[in-house]
Amino acid sequence: MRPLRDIFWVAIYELGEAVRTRLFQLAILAYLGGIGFSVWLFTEILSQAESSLAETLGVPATTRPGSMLPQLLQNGDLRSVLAPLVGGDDKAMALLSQPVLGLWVGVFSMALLPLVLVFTASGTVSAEVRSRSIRFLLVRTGRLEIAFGKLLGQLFLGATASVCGVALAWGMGLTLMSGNDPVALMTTLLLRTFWAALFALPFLGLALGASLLVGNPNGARVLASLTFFFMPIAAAVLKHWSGPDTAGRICDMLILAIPTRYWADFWSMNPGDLAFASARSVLLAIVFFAFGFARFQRRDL
Amino acid sequence: MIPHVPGGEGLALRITGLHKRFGKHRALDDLSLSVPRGSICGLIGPNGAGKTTTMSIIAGFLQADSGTVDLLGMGPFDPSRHAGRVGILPQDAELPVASTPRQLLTVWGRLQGIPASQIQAAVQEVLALVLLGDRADARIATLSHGMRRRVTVASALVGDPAFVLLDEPTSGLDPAQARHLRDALAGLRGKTTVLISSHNLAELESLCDRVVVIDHGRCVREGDMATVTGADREVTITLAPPYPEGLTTPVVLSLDRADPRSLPEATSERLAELLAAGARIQEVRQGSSLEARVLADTAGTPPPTPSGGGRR
Repeated sequence: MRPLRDIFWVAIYELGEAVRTRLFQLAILAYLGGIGFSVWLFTEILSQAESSLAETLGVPATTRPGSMLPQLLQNGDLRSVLAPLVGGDDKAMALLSQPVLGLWVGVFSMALLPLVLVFTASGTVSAEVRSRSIRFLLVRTGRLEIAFGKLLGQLFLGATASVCGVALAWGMGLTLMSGNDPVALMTTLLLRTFWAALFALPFLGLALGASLLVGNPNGARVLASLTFFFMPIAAAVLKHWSGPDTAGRICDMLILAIPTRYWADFWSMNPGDLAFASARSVLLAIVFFAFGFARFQRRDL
Repeated sequence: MIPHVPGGEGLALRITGLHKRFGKHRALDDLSLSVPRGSICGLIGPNGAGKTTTMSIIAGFLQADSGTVDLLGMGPFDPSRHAGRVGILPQDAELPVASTPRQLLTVWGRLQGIPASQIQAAVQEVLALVLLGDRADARIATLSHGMRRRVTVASALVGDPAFVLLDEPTSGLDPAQARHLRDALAGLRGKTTVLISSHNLAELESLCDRVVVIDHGRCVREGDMATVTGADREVTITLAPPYPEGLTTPVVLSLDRADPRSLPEATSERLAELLAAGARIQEVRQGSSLEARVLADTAGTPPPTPSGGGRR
């Protein structure tokens, strides 16, 4: 039980430091800012679309967007906006039985949550290695417990941001829009945020892995951020080089380790596909984390 | 060959044949030393001698290239065995500045296994020991360098560990605080094993009952303080001028092991002889100062390579 207890206390230490240095608040505020912006943007787009539709139909425009949503869904405009974001027209069609705002916020959650976690997690261990304050922990618990405690602390930070994001989007959605069913909206927001969190797991593993690998917080942030932003490019390059020869097969294998390419899988309505995507996400997170930990375990601190 | 303390079962620390390199720089070169349980041992040497590297290996921060460390009879440092039994004041580890001493010590104390029912008392006790009871809830950022140093000393002592490693514990403290800390450490004698690295040799001479001198990563002298300084077998008598014919100052009385007399007896006899010869006594000193011994042990050594020094 001692390792579990130690992981818990390292996580408490991690969260306490994050709160006291305002990193926790900053990360959550940044995430909430993004979610709030996404809801506002959605209502603006909806408002303009409804105004155009009202003008076409010769009816008065509504003051709160949302009352003409069923008509907009029927004419396919919203579906065409959503289709590239969820990986295809068929998926968009199937998903539109759910509140559109929930889906829209889900897209933003999947984009923002990895970004926030890369920012917060990439400096967590490396900063302590740099200042040598990690030595106060090393004399009290093992390196595995420290790494897992940091991971747990970051998971809690991500979960807190997610829950706050759901609450904000739900509140804004009900306030700024009309016609939203509170229960259906909440359910969709929770589900989409849950899938967004699972999608973000490999990025957390990547950032924490970088932090365990590099003893300099700036270096770890640069490594994690570059990897994060260049993943789509790397995926395109690897796909270009993939083929039946050895080098091509290696490219095919490397593509499997790029989490951004699994974005569309989390928009599937098939439970089997979602379970497979989740398992793959967890596996990738473990691989990235383990890669950094292998170095952290052996290095002089 | 450095003589070791006989009876390994009475040792809190035994290091044998330790080697450590940082690139081309050889930080430790076949270092062997031992520290008896309950003793206060000084670890002395010039800059770059390998003191901090040695402490870092003992605490598990650094991994030795070869050699063995047996800490508290439980092998090399392993947090699953040693957590809560070993406290350390790292030389240059920075405290998280946004927290308070109480917050840090509480989490660290819980992490090392102090029960929830005892943690507040343990934290309060150790903060009082380093005279920071009234600043327990101040943010580290608002504390002076000396106060921060005392917080790190408190972190090494919280929970009454069996073995404490202190790297330059009085660095940055004013004389009164340094003296208070020395008194507090002296109070640990017999209960806790303390290994102190310091350049303040007068401080170590007054505090330690054992000393290890290392230079170029090797142990060059090891033993009880009285033996190292010669306080158990040597007296230096300084004469005031004019000197009687045939006498020069200082007069060194070195007691042979085969001599049946005690040092006070031999000293009294020699003083009587000198007084009878008409000499005037200016000073009588037992043994040499630790500083003189260390300087003699490390004299003529080339300066350490740039990659050495205290940042390990």
